Amino acid sequence: MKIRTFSYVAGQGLRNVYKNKLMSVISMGMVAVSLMVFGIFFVILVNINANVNSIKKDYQIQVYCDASLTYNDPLIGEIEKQIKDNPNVESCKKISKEEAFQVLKYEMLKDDSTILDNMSNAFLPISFTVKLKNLSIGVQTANEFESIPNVKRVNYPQKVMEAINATASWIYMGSLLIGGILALAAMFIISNTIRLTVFARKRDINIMKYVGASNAFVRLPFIIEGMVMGILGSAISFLVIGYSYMSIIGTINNQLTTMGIVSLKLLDFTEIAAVMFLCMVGIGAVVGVIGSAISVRKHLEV
Amino acid sequence: MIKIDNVTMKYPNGTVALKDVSFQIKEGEFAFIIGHSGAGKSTLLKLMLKEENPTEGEIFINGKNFSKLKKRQIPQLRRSIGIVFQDFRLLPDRTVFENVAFAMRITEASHKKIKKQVPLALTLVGLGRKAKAFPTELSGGEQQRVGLARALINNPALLIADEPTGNLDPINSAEIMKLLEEINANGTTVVVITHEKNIVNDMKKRVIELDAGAVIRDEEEGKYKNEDTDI
Ligand SMILES: Nc1ncnc2c1ncn2[C@@H]1O[C@H](COP(=O)(O)OP(=O)(O)O)[C@@H](O)[C@H]1O
Ligand SMILES: [Mg+2]
Repeated sequence: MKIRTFSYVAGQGLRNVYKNKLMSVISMGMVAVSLMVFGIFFVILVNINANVNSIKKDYQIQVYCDASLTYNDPLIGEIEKQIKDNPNVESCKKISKEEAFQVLKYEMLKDDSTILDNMSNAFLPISFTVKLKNLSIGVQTANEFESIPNVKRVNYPQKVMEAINATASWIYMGSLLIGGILALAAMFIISNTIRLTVFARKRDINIMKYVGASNAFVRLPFIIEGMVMGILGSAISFLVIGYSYMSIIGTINNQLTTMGIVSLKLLDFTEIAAVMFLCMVGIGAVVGVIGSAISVRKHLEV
Repeated sequence: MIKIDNVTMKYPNGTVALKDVSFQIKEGEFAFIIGHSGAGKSTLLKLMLKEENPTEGEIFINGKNFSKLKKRQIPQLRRSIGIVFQDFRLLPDRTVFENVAFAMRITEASHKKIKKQVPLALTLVGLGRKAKAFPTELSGGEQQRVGLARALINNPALLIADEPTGNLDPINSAEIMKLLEEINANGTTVVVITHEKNIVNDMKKRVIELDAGAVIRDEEEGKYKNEDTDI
């Protein structure tokens, strides 16, 4: 199909949206409501994600080397290199035997530290304190550390990691599910509207086919019509959510501060607006295209 | 141009609309297909547009064997045939210009070509001044001329008119028939489906008569002079 033909056909689709004003506005509104819930989930998710990430930053993995290796042993260097080469490693700090000894003596044993009096630090292993970029695959990363030669043991807050991962995946799954259902609802709304316009224009469609219009020529305007309704509906939704978010974010952040929770903070709308707009409008467009395509396929045999 | 070869058409409900129909219409000919209501005329038209497929027999138009034509080739086929309907079948929400232009747009013609050809076609049918009007603002005769302009805009070798004067008064009918004759004189094959005996008697063209789905008469051009024919 040539560009001028496409633009003519697309123009017909836009014209239909305008001509069926009432029906278009109603379905756009309904699409907006369905996608609004989706948008709310989006806002909650990115905020949870951002805050979970800031919490995760504080977690670290301890990698213990074989105790027979000394600070400058090339094998230690090899272990350090392999840790640092892991793509999930944010930072890696080497702990000497003496540092470990001090920790043991003054932070762990404290009053009982006299039992170490005549001992050297030689029995303690060199270790690495590792911070991860992505804690959700932390267990896997820890396992990778464990398989490095001359690594004796890897300590990591497995329970915490797993709990965070489980919670995060529940939230993701839940919002995917609900978002999916609502997207289906929006699709159904658009499909239904397009079905009605197809029926209303049965006679015109017939004429077009008699004159020799191709499938695409007859169908595309309806697809465009559905897509436009999806896009406009999601854009309305975006504006409503954006406006509401901006009007409550200050209050909520103040509340968090007065409650003494400094580590939790809602993201600025400007930080999420672009991605959110693209996501919502993209979903709106896809929902519109699929919804109208279903109707057109079913009710417009050429 | 048209070859109908032993065509039988049986609808799914069992009605036999055409029974072993055969005839040929040559290039440049002007032919009437006549018959009572229910004789099978519309069925024949549907077959010629490949809206339906015959139960038996073969149809050729412009040398194309219909039974070999794929579904997606149907639009192409219809663009090569100009069609005029009894009820005009114009798109009500578009101007006269756009109605005619539509038949060009589906062929992906350029804007320039459309701007040039559509006014020419409208002038040809005597509607040069009505380009901006909407179909509802026109009389029946004028609407049928728009239909005619649309049918002609892509220079089809064949024009089929299904009861083109069925909704028109005698004066408008005569004018439409005159236009069809002119179109034919310019080389286009014209087939007119009708049951109006006055028109058929006046024009003395070839007549193919159907009755109960069978061809009961096929008179060559100029020979059909039966003033009292009962159709
Ligand atoms: N879609 C259809 N299904 C079943 N029977 C049909 C259908 N269309 C037409 N017929 C029957 O076929 C016969 C011929 O009809 P038609 O071709 O419309 O005749 P005409 O146009 O000459 O009046 C009639 O008996 C009619 O009832
Ligand atoms: Mg009929």
